[in-house]
Amino acid sequence: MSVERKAESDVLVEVESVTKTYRTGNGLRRGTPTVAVDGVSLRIAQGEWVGVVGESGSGKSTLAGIVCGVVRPDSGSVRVAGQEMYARRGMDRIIWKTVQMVFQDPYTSLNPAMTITEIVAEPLRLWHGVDRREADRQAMALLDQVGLSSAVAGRRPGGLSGGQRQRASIARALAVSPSLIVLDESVSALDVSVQAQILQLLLDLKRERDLAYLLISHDISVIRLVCDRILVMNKGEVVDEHSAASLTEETADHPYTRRLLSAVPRMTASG
Amino acid sequence: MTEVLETEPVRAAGPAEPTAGAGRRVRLGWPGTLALGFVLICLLIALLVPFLPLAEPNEQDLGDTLARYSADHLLGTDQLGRDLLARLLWAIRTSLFAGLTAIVVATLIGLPTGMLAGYRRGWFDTVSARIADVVLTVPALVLLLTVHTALRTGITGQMVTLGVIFAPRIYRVMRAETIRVATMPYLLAGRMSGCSHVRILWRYLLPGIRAQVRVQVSYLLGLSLLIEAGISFLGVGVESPDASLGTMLSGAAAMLASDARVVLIPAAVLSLLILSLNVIGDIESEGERRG
Ligand SMILES: Nc1ncnc2c1ncn2[C@@H]1O[C@H](COP(=O)(O)OP(=O)(O)O)[C@@H](O)[C@H]1O
Ligand SMILES: [Mg+2]
Repeated sequence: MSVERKAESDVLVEVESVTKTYRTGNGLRRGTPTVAVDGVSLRIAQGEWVGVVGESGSGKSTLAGIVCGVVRPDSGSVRVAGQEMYARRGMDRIIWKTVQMVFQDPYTSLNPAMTITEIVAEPLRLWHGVDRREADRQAMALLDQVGLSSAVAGRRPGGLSGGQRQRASIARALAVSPSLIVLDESVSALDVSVQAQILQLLLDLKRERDLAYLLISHDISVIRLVCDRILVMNKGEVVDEHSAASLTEETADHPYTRRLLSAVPRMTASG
Repeated sequence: MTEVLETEPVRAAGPAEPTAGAGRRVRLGWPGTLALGFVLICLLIALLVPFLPLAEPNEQDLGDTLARYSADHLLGTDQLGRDLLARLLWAIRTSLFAGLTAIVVATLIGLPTGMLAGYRRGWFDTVSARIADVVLTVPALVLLLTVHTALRTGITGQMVTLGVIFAPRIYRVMRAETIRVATMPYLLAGRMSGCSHVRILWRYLLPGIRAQVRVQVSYLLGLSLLIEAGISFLGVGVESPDASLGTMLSGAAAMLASDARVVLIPAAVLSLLILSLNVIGDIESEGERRG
């Protein structure tokens, strides 16, 4: 489990031994509590692409929520750009200037009542105080950057394909100018060819903007293709951590990681 | 970056698709077109009737009662010799305005409280739900009779009261709709785009539940018209000699055996209006289910 780390000063997000337990049930009957995340620590540095892989139910989305300030952990600490997230009220909102999210389902993650331009221009106006015309202009430039034509810009999400919608979601997140984008299964719902296009787009954007990503997927082949560093989650715990280059079925020291890897049909010899 | 060729088709709205699209048009079909047309004509009459060249609706001519159709009286006259056409058109105005009063009051109370309860949950949800429960247990007719005798605020007071009675229905539907829409990830995306809660309610939630508002307004307007007719018939709504669809029925009820026309014409208009509003409501809610 030896992974080289970037310098302390570059650390964007620092999650330390966070735990989250969901208590279901109502006032009358107490359901069994689910430990979704159990003592997980995670550091993401500027410009780093971190992957989290694990079966469904292993706590990946909960961890993503914790990083974005959407899920409050029961214990442990979350620091974003050196600031303690729950130190004062409203911090969870302020961190969205640094950390943004692209969701899993392209069909429910864009407001159906707004046009694509409006959706992308909104964070420019609300977070950065850009006036309407300038925001629209910058939104068009962002849409162009994510590969959406001006023909799409005036449409509402209903007129877009799944891949186009994820591009629009990425443009919306970019409009905030974050340092980190959390992608929770953001390519999983797409066709394989479209997945590859979106991953290529993410790669290009990362080069241009020195972005960091936290890419979450149940599919280790996607993670291994693009990530610098890979965390393997199982039952709420990080059971294994690898740099992408070193991760093969032979070098994986945890049996769970080997199991995930062996489930993938071998496509490329170099992995 | 150049436009990437997407091989993927634009998927038709599936079951997961939120149905909030502004510009989403419901297919009316011919029953819907007829119903909508009839309601719109009635609304137009309601607005224009003071400007139409009509006889004085309350003017009696006891020498010319129950007259047949003529150039002077296109629909003839009633049992007191009043021009039936004039009375009918004024009645449409009075009844529709009364119904709309109730709907506006019900929506002004029920929509914001329902949205807020569904969005924020917590104590506001609990308290408002209890209040709605209490209001729903009050028998509408008893309350309307009480308000009539105690306050004597006329038909407007009665319809404001009816609006308060209807408010919990709107509240409940809007609360449930809000809870449904509030689980959509796009609300969180909106928060992350910097939207305040107020902006989320206005630009993200309201468009998503607007179709249900239209459904409820159609149904409740129909019901309001029925109740206006009912209480006016009982003499605690619009008061004679003023014409409403209710007072026209009550005044002429005795005529059913001798000259049914005097009863049947306002009854037909009232029934058609209520039927049309229900048809529109059904089509809206059907379109809402299909997405
Ligand atoms: N809001 C919630 N309420 C109750 N249980 C939840 C909730 N969200 C997730 N869980 C449970 O926590 C566990 C981890 O879920 P999740 O973080 O979504 O995992 P993953 O994204 O890896 O599929 C699962 O057992 C899931 O059922
Ligand atoms: Mg998940």
